[in-house]
Amino acid sequence: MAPILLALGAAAGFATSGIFVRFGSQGIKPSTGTAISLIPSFFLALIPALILDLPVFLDIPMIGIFWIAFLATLNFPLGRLLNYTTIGRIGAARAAPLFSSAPLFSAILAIAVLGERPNPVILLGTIVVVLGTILIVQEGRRYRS
Amino acid sequence: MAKEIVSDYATPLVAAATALGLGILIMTPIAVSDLPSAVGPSRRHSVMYLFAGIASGAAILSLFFSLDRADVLVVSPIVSTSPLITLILVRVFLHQIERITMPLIIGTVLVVGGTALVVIGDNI
Repeated sequence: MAPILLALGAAAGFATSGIFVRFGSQGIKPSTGTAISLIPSFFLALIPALILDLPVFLDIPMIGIFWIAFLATLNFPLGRLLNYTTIGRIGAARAAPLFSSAPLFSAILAIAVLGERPNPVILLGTIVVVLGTILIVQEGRRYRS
Repeated sequence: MAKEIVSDYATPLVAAATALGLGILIMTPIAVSDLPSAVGPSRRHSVMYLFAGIASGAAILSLFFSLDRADVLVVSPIVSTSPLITLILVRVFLHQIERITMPLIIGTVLVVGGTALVVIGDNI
């Protein structure tokens, strides 16, 4: 039961974050908002990391720091900034499902780069995600016009 | 990539904390031009972004601890319902600036369901 509640908590947290971003985007550029939002996120991750994994923290090899820096560059200047910009432009309700389709892109990259073979469940999921995305984009165009 | 980093070099929490710290260093020069406004007339909007950071940080922690206790096949589909929760929250708090339409609801359900299928398919 606890893992399910924690997972629901994660879902609620991500959703709530989008609502706050929508309010914030009405007064500040997404780039500034992204930088501001990273500060509490950093401390929320840092404190338990220091408590639970201090030896690991002190022992990260340089190559590990390089890869984490690369990941950070993908996630924050690109990922979170684009997410916040999208919320500011089309709204939290329309941005959230588009952003949550990230596992689809992981699967596509795994197939294209790592040579993994898609199974029927992944193919069906891909089709369903694409249909949903088309519906949201078309609805968004009608909504704005 | 995150999986490789976590298995080879660091635990999920350490990787997340390091990436977030580096993210602040990367984003600060980009954001500095708007900082006077952020701490002045738009202070209220800055507070909203702080709350957004708290919410997403708490979400990342919840996700980490849930994955620590259960399989990704159980956790990921639940977490992927986040857009449905967003729809409810938008209806309650943002109804004056965002409209929820039936195609949007159906599209969201399809994306959430399809994503869950992709995650399940990736783990079987």
